[in-house]
Amino acid sequence: MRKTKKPTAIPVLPNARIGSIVGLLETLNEQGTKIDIYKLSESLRFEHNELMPITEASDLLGFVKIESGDIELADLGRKVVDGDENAKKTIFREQMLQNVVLAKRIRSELESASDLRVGREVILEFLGSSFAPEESERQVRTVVDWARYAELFDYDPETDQFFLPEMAETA
Amino acid sequence: MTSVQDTSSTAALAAQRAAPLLELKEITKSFPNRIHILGPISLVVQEGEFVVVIGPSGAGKSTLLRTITGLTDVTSGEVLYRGRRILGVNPNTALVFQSFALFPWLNVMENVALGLEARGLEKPERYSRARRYIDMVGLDGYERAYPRELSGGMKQRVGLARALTVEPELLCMDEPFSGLDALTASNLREQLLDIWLSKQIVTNTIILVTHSVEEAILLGDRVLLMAAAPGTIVADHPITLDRPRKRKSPQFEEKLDELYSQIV
Repeated sequence: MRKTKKPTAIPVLPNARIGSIVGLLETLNEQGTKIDIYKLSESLRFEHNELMPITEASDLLGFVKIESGDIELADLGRKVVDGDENAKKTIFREQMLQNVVLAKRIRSELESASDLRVGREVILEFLGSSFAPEESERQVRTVVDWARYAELFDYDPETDQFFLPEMAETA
Repeated sequence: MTSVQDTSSTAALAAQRAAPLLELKEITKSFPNRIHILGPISLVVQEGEFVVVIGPSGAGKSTLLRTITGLTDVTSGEVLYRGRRILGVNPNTALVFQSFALFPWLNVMENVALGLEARGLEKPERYSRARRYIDMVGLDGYERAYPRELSGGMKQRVGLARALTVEPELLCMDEPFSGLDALTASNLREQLLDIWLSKQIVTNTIILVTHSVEEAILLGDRVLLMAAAPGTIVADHPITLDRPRKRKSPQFEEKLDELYSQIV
């Protein structure tokens, strides 16, 4: 399944956890209006560089609007806040497939793999064209966290393989 | 539930129905070296209440939860559950810890199902019940993940699912959000409130310990203030603000001021 492809830069996935992203959306929802990102990080007692990946991730997924240092909830972000757990997951899944290159890549590798499993090394090699090894590891950790939440794919740390959970369960 | 009921006499049953869910009567706790750390404390908790306990460290908040769940015994006084004296661990309760207390060698599903093994359930039933609560706390998709792969927020969701899986009537939580950053903590508080308010679970009474006044007002129907050395309850505030509660509302800030003034 390894393709020799001309390396193109893969957009970096901001290293933010799901709980923090949803927490940010809830906080912005309560806020009601747009807020200066710097002020927000102060009120949350976050360092600016700790909040950055969370705002960037929310932006990448289309949940917030960021403009000249201000952040506010986008309509889709409000749907995440208002939705139940399943609705949240569906929105995450759709947005990941649309906006997260790494997630799309893993998903398509999985769909074309004969045993519906893809080794970690295949993905690390793909990432290697754009990232240093330790950043590649971080990218994998983040995408696995998001994908598990969105139920897009799963990762088996015992065998170091990505897999499609719904397929594995019926197998 | 049978362990706290022992007679079929109608008088006893009627008394039980009339009794509050939990009653502490003049309880005290001293360590074997005779240091008196808690009490006397008397407290009545009715079914359906969300009670938040707040106080300085060393006020014995954790010890109070441990006596309520029966994980530790009292030196004097009585813990009554539905009017019956509890000796040993109360099977109608579960405790969520700040430290998550997950087993690193078990995956999410195994960690959640663990508490059911002790209750004698067969494996298929353990797993189907565990799956229900894993879904409820938003952990589906993570069943096979190991604790080391999870963020603090996800670990605490596992802790919560594990506690709910044993279907306790009374859920005790010991600073469950204080190890988490502000955004993750706020997300988990919302999740807990959603589950509790949806009334889809057996668990309808919660006692939560915190050191955050804001968290206390966000969550509680009632806030108990504790003072230290020895730990006693010095105030009992009803919180009647409508839910969902807005931190920025004047009523919220008023309550915040009121509680802060009593703590300092």
